Amino acid sequence: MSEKIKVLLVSFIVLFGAAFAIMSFNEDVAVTDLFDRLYQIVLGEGAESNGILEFTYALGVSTGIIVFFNHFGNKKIKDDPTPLQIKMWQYQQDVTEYEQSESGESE
Amino acid sequence: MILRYIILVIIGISSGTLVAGGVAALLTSVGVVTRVAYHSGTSKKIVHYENCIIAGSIIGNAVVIYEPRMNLEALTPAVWIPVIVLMGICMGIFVGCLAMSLAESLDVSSISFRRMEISHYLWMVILAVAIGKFAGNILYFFF
Repeated sequence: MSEKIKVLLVSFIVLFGAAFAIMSFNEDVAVTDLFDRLYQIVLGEGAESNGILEFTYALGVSTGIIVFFNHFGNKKIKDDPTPLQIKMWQYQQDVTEYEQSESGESE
Repeated sequence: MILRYIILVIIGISSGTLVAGGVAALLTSVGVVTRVAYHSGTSKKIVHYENCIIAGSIIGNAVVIYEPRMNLEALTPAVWIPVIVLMGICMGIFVGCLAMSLAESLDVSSISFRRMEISHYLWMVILAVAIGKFAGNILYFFF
């Protein structure tokens, strides 16, 4: 039961954290101003935003994230392990090596 | 005229894909999610946390681009206060872990503490860093 609470808490942290990371990145580079500029360049002076760039940008972000993490919900796209699984395995390797070297030194 | 729209579509999709790859690669290589998952003892659910990253990134990006108005304040305060508090605490925890993970993946702590030859009272230094970050945030937002 307490494991479910822990998973729920960490899920909330990761969810809002990832949202904050991409929100602050988009605000930093001023993406909405850049889109206004792009509309002026491509469509001519005095053009208003049609919603095309915003929609395709959101679509591209979704596609990129899903392709990067290699799975969508429960299904995997290819048969490789996902990047975070590899990272987690490496971290556990490092912890195991450290503990072995600690116990080896103290002998 | 139709060619201009095609150019816009290509610009949108390609820039979105690359931006997503960059942000996701930063979160992965810094290792903040793996650390939080490992130290909470739930490292088996890392695939589930990847789902959370995907969902959070897509929703966050849509919120910044479209800026929808939700008007939660019209409801009773018992509804929007927990939502805002939860959002704030979770974002804060994530940003703190991200900052320290970034500093650690650059080997800042290990090199400086080796130079200064501090090894026993390391917890005091970390506590001082945490209090300093808290005070800095309060000063930044309220003064």
